[in-house]
Amino acid sequence: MQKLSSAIRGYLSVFYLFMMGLGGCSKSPETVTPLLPGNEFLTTVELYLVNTGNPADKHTAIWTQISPYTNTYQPDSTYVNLAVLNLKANSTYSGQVIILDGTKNPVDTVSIAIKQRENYHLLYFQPSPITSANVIISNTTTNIPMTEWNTGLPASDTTAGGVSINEVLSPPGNPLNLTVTRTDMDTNNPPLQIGLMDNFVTGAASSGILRVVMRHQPNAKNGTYPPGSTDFDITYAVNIQ
Amino acid sequence: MKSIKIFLLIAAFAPVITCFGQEKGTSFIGLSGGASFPMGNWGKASTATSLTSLEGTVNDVSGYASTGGFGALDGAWFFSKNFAIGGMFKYGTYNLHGMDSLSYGYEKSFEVDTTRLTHTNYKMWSIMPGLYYYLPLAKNLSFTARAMMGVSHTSTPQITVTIEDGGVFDPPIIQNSSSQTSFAFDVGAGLRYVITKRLAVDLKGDYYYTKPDFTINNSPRYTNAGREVTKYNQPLTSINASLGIAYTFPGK
Repeated sequence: MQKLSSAIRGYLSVFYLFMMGLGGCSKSPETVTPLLPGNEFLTTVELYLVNTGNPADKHTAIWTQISPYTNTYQPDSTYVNLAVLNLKANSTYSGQVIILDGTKNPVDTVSIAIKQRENYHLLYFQPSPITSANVIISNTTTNIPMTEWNTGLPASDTTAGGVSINEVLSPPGNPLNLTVTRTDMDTNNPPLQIGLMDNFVTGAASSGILRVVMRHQPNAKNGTYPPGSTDFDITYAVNIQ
Repeated sequence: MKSIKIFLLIAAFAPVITCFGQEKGTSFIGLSGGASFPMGNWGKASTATSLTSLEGTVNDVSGYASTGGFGALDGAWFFSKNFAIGGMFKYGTYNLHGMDSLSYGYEKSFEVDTTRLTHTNYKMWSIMPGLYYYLPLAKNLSFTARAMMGVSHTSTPQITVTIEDGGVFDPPIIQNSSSQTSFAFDVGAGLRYVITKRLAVDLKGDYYYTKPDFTINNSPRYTNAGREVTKYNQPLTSINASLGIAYTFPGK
């Protein structure tokens, strides 16, 4: 009987060690998936505006990195001659952001893909100069938090007309009387704004800049600016007459 | 189901076959280990394309279980010449396969630079009483079969996907581990070869079935895209092959 219990004890010991061995196989291997091939270049961003009170009053402002001289993508250059909006005072414009990949032939309209990926993209529009009272940060406003403003960039960093892309408060200067609101919604729950479709409302004659930022917020979009990374960050000159 | 049919066939003819038996089965305690091959959706891996969802989350019936390892302790007491009642305790783990597809699916769904996926394994234990059958074939060789049913406790793996885009790490996607106890059964057959007076070697094959109804918690999903599994109610079936050693008790 003693021999028997000894044998059983031996068996159980071996079984225990085997089970421990199986448990020890629980590891957390890592699978790293690198950058997907064939990602688009965001070479050109157009603002296409139509005056809701006068459909003949249309404007297209083009910010591009496609050289007008060689028709090639120049990632270190920006061709801003057409990055200008000349809008009528006290008007409402229906706006559309059109994003293009000019490296493709024919040119690829990336904004269609962005629309498909609306649940984690969010566009911001920051007019400048602006009064501090008009910088309203919420899930439904398009203002960029002041901590994210361009403030210390050299004067040589300009848009069309030599306007600095630094954002400033007014006063001392006169504010740019432009308000942008998003009009499109994604399919998140609850739905959040996107910004590919917008309303541009102008006030009295003024001038300044409009900074447009597209945030990419995978599994992070909550209507605010901070989460995620920036897909593009560009500036247009704006004249309201 | 084929294994069940084979077992029932053997059981039906047992009284006839046992007429030719020369030796009575002896009660035993056995230790075995082997490989387990997941079947059905549990063992499948989805493609990255099928896991890509830009608007709305996508459910996934694939279990990604790869060939696992298990150990079992079982024993039986013979109440007749050929039949015994016994029980088995089994513990096994299953690694995952197809993680590249899973990771790519999240990368394509969120259009990000890099995804990093880590995971733990399936863990499963079961306790099952059942009926054993013994049929001598030659002097040291016998045929064995068993049909058992009991409970199984299974834990699903935790899958963590880290998202990086533009040098920024976004909130990870975590599918938490879930555990569930469920009914299980096991039918199998094998060969026993007696090597000494008290020791025998077992070679066995089994079909194992359980179907737990998992409710799976996930980390907060801020955007409505990509794979998200909140319920998993697929049969966890496997074919098991094992090699073991049995100690046979002194008997009359």
